[in-house]
Amino acid sequence: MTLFAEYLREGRLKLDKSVFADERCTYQDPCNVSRNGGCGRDAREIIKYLCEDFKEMEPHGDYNFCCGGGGGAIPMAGAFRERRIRSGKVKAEQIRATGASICITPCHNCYDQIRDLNKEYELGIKVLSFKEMFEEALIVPEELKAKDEDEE
Amino acid sequence: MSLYELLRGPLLWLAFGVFVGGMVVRVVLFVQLSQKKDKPIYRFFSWKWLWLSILHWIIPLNETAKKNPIVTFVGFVFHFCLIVTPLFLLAHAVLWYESWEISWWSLPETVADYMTLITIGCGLFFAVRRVVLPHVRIVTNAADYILLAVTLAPFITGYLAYHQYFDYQTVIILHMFFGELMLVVIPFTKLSHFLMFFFSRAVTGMEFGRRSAPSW
Amino acid sequence: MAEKAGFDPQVFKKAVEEKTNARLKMWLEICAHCGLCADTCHFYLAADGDPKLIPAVKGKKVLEAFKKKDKIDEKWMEDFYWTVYGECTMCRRCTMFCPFGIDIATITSTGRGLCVSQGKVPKNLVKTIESYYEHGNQMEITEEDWVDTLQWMEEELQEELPGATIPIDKKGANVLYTVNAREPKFYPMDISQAAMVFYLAGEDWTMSTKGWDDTNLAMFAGDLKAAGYVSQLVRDAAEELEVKRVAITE
Repeated sequence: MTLFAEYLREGRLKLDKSVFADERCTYQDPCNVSRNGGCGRDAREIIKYLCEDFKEMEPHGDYNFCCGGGGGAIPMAGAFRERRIRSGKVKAEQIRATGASICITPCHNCYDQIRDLNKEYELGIKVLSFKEMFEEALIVPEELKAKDEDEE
Repeated sequence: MSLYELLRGPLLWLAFGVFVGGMVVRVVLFVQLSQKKDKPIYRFFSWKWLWLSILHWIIPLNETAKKNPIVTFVGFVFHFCLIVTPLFLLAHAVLWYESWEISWWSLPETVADYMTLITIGCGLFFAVRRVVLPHVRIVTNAADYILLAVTLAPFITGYLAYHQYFDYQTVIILHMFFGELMLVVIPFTKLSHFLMFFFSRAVTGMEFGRRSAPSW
Repeated sequence: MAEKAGFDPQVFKKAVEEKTNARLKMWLEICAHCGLCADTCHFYLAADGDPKLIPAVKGKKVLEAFKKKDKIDEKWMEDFYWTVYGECTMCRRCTMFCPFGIDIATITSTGRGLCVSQGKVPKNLVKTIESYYEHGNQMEITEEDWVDTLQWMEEELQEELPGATIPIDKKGANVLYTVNAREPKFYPMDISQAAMVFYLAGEDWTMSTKGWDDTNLAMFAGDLKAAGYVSQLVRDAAEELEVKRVAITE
């Protein structure tokens, strides 16, 4: 993620901001990326290139709440699943309060957990990673595109 | 030797000895064990984060202070009075002078009197908090009440002695006894946080700092 | 859920002694039981303020393990197991609000370590640890499947960007890109998306056939020996390929 921010800063990547212009985005700080990894600022920097309407959760950054999927909780599965979903209530309410339609998170645990929360608490949001958003928003120079424009 | 002389002489020595010696041992044990088993402290040692971490909590400059202003305020006042009152009490200064001919600045007597009351009041606030709030009650055990009582006892008896309520001789003996008792239990209980606070803040400040997150 | 039944007090005592370190001892001794950590924990808040879920209670249970190490029994252990694995995600939020800076995540991790000594680890975490040892990743993906996935993703990507590649084991590259093993297993598109970013940014990058899983569930399980092994895998890969930086997936 630090690399992504670097690329954007250096102009090595160009993003089309209009792609997500109609959506309100929020960002889930993964505990081990923001608080324990020090990458919160990089994420905000990327978001500046990506979203028009960005609303922070409260609290956020180093003071964020865990989504409930951390510490190995996702792969534990089984009987731990119920606890995981229950403890995610805090995060679900936080997301709801932002009124966002997209929740960005760069962590696979958060990603899976928030997808589950989205279903259980009926948040009606899309959960996306930066990579997924990049795929849609990256401006690809014409000469690099495939000649044969097949729709997949 | 009268009970008064015993408490004023050998037992006072003993109390100071256990207090200072006990805390020195605590620190030495911490440093020794940490060198063997807490290598990250030394690998990521940083004076900057050490001081930032301590300062943000010694002056209430942290998120907890914002979130719990009342507890923070009472806690701050409590600790301030708890340390300053006995150190700068005129009556204690007289004793230091009698024994060692050393003297330092003292608080005006009325101020010290109010500070004593404030200390007791804050202590009672914490006691009530322990009883009333379920999330505090659940982590409270008997030792927490006993230690709070041991901490407040010298202040209560000191207040009684100053105003000469009840029998002065008895009250002053109790006052000395409780004061010495408090000193003795400090190294062996959670009261040792008066010193270990700095070590704990330092290691956590550095651990969060190396991940460029604040710990306050 | 536990792997093995039964409780071995001898092993437990030894584990406790091994895991005692200076910070832990200090924290368990100085906790003032002030309760300020309560509303910093999402488990507590989500349960509408159930006092049993505040961080200090979890710390207290680990303290019990250390203090009464001779009197622990199977029943105690069972409750302990659910606490350390099911009531704390080691997110470290409470530590930021603790006046003493007591690190409950470290304490929980130690508690999980005690469970490891009794073989009481959630089945699915055990599976991932075994997989780390056998395949070098948490999802039992063989090297062959891994390379197949990368090539498949490269082909997918080339349909849109004919010049794009996914370099494998390229020595001296600028960036070694590592992923979460959930990606090749459940979200393979993540890899082609990353490749697209690297390609468009003109990065000199590579992926590795070994040590490519940057997750460390052994660490979450509390099995520190295995955790060390897992992180060494990525380190070895980085050293062997002589890359300048290791990038971790989102």
